[in-house]
Amino acid sequence: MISTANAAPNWLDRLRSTKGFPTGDNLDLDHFLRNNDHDTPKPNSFESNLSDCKRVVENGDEKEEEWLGIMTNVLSDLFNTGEPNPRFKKSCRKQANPKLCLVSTEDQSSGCMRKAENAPVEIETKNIEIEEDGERELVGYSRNEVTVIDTSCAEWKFEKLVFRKRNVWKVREKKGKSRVIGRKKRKANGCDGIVHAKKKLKLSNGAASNHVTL
Amino acid sequence: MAPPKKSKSKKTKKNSKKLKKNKSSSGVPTEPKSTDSDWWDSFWAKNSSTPGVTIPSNEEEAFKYFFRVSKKTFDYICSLVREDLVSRPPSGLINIEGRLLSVEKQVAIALRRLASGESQVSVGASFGVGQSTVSQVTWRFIEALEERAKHHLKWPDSNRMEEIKSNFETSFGLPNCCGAIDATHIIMTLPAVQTSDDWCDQENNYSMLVQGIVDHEMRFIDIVTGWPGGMSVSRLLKCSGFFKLCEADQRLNGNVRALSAGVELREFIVGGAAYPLLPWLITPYENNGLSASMSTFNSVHEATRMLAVKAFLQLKGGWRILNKVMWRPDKRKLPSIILVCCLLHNIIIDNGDQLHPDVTLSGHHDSGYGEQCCKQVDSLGRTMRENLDKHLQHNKNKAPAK
Repeated sequence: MISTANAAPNWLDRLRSTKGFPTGDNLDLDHFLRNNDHDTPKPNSFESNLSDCKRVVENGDEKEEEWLGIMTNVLSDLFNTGEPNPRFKKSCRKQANPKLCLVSTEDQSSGCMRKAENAPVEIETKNIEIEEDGERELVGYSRNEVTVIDTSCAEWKFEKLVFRKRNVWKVREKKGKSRVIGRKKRKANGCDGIVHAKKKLKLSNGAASNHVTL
Repeated sequence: MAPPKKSKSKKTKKNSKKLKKNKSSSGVPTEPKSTDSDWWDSFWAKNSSTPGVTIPSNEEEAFKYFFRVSKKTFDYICSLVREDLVSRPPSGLINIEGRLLSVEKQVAIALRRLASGESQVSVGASFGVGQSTVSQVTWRFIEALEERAKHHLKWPDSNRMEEIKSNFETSFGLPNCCGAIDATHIIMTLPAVQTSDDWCDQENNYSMLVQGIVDHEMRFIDIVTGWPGGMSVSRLLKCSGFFKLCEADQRLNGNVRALSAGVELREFIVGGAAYPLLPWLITPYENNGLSASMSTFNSVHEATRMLAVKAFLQLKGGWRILNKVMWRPDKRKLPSIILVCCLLHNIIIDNGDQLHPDVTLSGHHDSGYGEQCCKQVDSLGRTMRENLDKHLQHNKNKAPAK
């Protein structure tokens, strides 16, 4: 709370009057707000501009009170002058209902079987592809660098770039060390040798077989 | 510039020698044997009774309770990582008495952190070390073990594979089955700047996936991890080196098994409904309109597949760090943590240890996650499944005649 000293020094009074604030004993903020219209001249002050607006806009007492309420809230926020006007509750800066990361680590089923009822069915469509190369710009894709450990690869640990747009995932080599610009040549690690053998594969829905290859 | 005065440099040398001498006589002892070999006694004295927790009174059992491994296996793990942990002792790794941490104590701290999943602070408190020591020691241990214990997680050679196949057939009746596959989510929180839908999974948790293939003893013979939880299980499979090897006929390409009536059966693994039906990956029949033989097949298939499910239950139960929500992990390091837990899981099996039954999670390893369902069916895979089904029927009909 702004505390006003009982014996205000003259310089403070001078400062107040030059800035258009009242001086004297009644330095309580509410008092100031209610009376500043009439008590003191307020050259170039924020309040004076505000009250000018008020005069134009409003006529009734009720509206005046609303303005006063708003101003009290604004000033009480700024200077922590106590309880704001309950009529004009400002919205809380924090979420009223923040989303919690609720993870149940407790066991919910008795056995280790999992119910497949209502299981999300993955519908594999033609346009789903996971490609390991390609030079096109990936506009609209999210991009993530991932560190993968795969014991089926000669080098167990490697980094990849993952691009995703909804159901479409694209996996690419991390640029820099392994790509040769101009040609789609890459240093082969344990996995890539096979990728090369298979080239870029897309899911297909052949008539004879539903075999989906990569 | 003028050369330094000889007399002065001599003096400095002398001084530094003196300092060195002082340091070695009154500084931190570096001899591992003389430092902290009695870590277990002090740990046991400190932690033998914790209110609200039943700790075995038998010291051997208690050791396994805290570290998941027998003392013998613990010594073996120490021998694997000793060179890495003892050769570069940073000044930070000092216990409360100001002595260097022995390899044994470092291994114990790391194993306790991985096994309990408790916070670094509380693990540190149980050993009389600080949080940062737990953090450093655990990461150094992980780095060391992921290099030194690779031989505990490898695809079996052809001889070993014949053994595995024979055991699968004896236990479940499936000929030429090489393993069971499953996957699980490792849940984590991410800082707001790193959040991405890619890591957000079907249950709206941020997670990293781990896929594992196990043999008949629930030993991991292949794992993949690091891919974002937003991927489906079938996509994870397709991103794996294992998939690529199988598709290129470089894996599961061993001896073909001749069944009755000239039918041949290639090598395969079993997986749940979340996986595509492929010539080398056999999934169960869909659950509607099943004939009696299909139901029989499904129950045999499920019993076999359950090995992978149980392996993940043991993995997440034994190494609880994987079953807790990881607090903003470094996503480049998390795969190593997961791998090391898988290596430890295998080391326990390879050394003939038995996990305490209470350690294994009850319920499902991916608690809270519904099973995914992949509709992809390959025609050769369908034929394989039918042949297996027929083989089971054939054996079933033969059995009563015996």
